[in-house]
Order: sequence, then C-alpha cells, then structure tokens
Amino acid sequence: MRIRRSFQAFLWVFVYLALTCAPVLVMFFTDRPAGREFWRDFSVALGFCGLAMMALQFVLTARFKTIKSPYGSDIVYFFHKRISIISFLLILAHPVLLFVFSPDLLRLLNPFDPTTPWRARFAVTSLLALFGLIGLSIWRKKLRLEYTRWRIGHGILAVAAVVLAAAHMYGVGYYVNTPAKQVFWFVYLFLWVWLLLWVRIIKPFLLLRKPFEVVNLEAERGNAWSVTVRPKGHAGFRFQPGQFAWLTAWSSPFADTEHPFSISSSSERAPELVFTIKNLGDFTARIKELQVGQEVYVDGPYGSFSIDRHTHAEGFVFLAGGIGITPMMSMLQSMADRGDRRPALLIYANNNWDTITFREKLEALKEKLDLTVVHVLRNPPQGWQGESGYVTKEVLERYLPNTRTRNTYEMFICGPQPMMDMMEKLLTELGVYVGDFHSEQFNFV
Amino acid sequence: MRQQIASLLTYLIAAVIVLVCLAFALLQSL
Repeated sequence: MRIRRSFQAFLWVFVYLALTCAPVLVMFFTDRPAGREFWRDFSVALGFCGLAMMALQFVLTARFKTIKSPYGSDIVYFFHKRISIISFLLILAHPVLLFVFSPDLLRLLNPFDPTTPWRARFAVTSLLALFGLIGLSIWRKKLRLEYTRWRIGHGILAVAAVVLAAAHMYGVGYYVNTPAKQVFWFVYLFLWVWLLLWVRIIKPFLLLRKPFEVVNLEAERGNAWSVTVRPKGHAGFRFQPGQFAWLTAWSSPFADTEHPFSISSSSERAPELVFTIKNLGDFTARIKELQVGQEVYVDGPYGSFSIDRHTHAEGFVFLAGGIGITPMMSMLQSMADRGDRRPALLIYANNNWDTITFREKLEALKEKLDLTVVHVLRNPPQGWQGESGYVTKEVLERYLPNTRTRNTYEMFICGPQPMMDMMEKLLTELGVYVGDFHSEQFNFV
Repeated sequence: MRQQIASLLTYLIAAVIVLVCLAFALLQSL
C-alpha cells in the first residue's frame, strides 16, 4: 500500500513536470522557426512554461481524489501556493528579460499609445491580474478580506490572467505558427476550459441534485457546534474516519461559498455525518444559526488523514490541539463502533478545562476502547494534577509507547500550525520514523 | 516535515523547468 502510494506520488510529479514543459518540448520537436537571440528564446520558453503552470493551478484545486490521495489535500494546497510564486516569477522573468536585452520594447508598455499592439496590452493586463492574484492571496488576512469574497475574486483574476496570457501568445504567434502547435495549444486550452466547466458548472449541478438535511445541532465545549446532516433523497457517501468534506450552507453550490470541515462522526454511521465547527469568525460564527430541516450541500470525502490507510498498525497515537480533535474523534468513534481494541493514546492540548471540546464524550469512549487520554492545559485550574503548559518532549516521552514498540504505532497530529511543526520535530527527535506520523492542517485554505 | 518535503520538491520542479527552458534557448541559438 505504502509503495503504491509512493509510486503514485512520483508519478504525479512526473506528469506535472511533463505538462509544464510540454509547450517547450512541442516547440522544439516539431517544425520550428529559426532561433532568435538566446535571451529572447529563453524568456519566451519561460513564458510558455509559466502559462502552462498557471493553467495547471486549476487542476491542483479541482479536488481530483486520485491526485490528492498520495499527498493529502493540505499538501496539494501548500504546493498550489508555493508553485504559484514560482510560476509568477517565471512569467515576470519573460518581460523583464525582454526589456533588459531589447530596451526598445519598453515602448509597448504605454497603453495610451495608439500604436501599442493588442498583444502587448493583453500581456500587461494579464501580468496586472497576476499581481492582484498573488497580492490578495498573501495579504488576505491583513487586508481583512472575507474568505468567500477573496475566493470569488481569486477565481476571476486567475481566469483573466490565463485567458489574457493565451490571447497574448496567439497575438505574438511566433512559436504557434504551425498546425501542430496550434492543435497542441487548442487541446491544452480546451482541456482547461473543460476543467473550468467541470468545477464551476457540472460539479455544482451534481451537488445541487444531492442535498443533505440538517437533522441536529448541538453546542459543544470550546465555542463549537456539532451539526448532524443526512442525505436527502439519495444514498450519500461513505468515508474513512479522519477525512473531511466541503460544506455549503445558505447558498447554492454555484455560489462558490463552501468551507472545508473534518467529519467528526464515526464512519460506521455513514451516510449520516457530523461536522464539529468552532466559531473562528465569518462563516463559522453563523453555524449556530442553522435550522433543523435546512438543506445544505456536502462535497466529499477528501483527505488521506485516516487510520484506515494504516491497517497494519498495532496501535495509534493522536496528538490534538483545540478543534484539531475533530478528525481524531471520528477515528476514535469508528474504532469504538468496530470493536477495535488496539491501544490508542490521545494527547490533547487545550487552553483550559472548561473549553475542551468532546471532554465528556472522550471519557465515555474509554469504556469501549483501550484509550488513554492525556489532557495538557495551558491555563489549568487550581489543584490540577495533570499536565500543564505545552506538549513538550518530556510529556511525549512520559506517555508514548516505549521505543521498542513505538514504530509499530501510527501517529496522527492535528492542531494549530506551530503545534504541528513542533510535534513533528519532537517525534523525529524521539526516533519516530517520518513515515509513521501523519499530520493534516485544518485551516489549509 | 511534509511541508518541508513539498517545499523542496517545488524548488526541484522549478529548477528542472528553468533548465529545460535554458536548454531550449541554447539549442535554438546553435
């Protein structure tokens, strides 16, 4: 299983590279015009690869399960963000190199000059759209731009950047002047348009035909709410414990206002799903206003953060911080429903005793599982006998299975990013094999 | 850890792409 996933992971990287470099390879290996100056051809090649990368950004966020499966959704989004900077730099290098080595081309930047060709105007506008795209993404939180609005703006700017860059390419036409290259670019851009149609029209339409209904709403400790939903007039879907889904409420799937949440219920109780959502502002603040009987839309399941992907494990360690408990709760409840008596250790960090989400439910689960729960409180109450402060190396050493059996366990980490980074570092220091611990960010968008 | 590996992979991919572009320009100029 692990070998198959590693192979898939390498395969997708290879496919990504092949698709990114394809425009240059096609340019070179088919009937091509004479070369020009080295820097001009280099800058053109960078521009072509940059355009291909921009188009592929849409594939990365289109939620194809086969692509996300070997890495986990959070890593695919992380790659999407990182590679966007790279593609932006490659695209930026295209005009910069041209201007440095042919300064006379700078005149093309003047939009008010009637002799400025449209191909140059397209290029400048595409670049401006890219600047906006990157700027809004990096400074979204500083600009206090609400997630849903940012997402819509992000989509519009991204489509504009690709369409304008493609128009610029056809306008210049130097390296797309043969039927073979025109067919190549037609197919490339046709597939891109098809992808847009799939994501924005076909998939929302399919979701619209399969609504879910809110059947329960329950307040949890820690300013969180558990929303139970059931499929309405269809079979719903099965999921692996620990996976997440995208939830749309108060609007149609076409409105592009969905948010990702871990499923916190047992996979054995599917198709009924429970999402436990902490009030972190904007959309999450409204969860408590959901009404029983209200229709919502659920797109899922996604994610590779699951005990079901590690069936060989002799036991499990769960390291949770705050609302990062939700996928762990799904895994623990599924184990309970399955009668799985493998040992499980949960080290659960919270601010204080009263805000521990699922505190009582975890106590109840101890009856059905071989479960040890270690609460670590940053602000413990007076007389607290348990662990306090942060989850440190000493805390881990006290409770983790001994070094002989440690590597027969699979470990799961979910919580705020600084905590996850620290846990990964500490587990590595404690000799846990990197393939034996798994983490998933819950706020990856 | 996974993010560090993904970061490294991103830079590797970028390096390969730049190399391919350089090779193209070089071969075109010959």
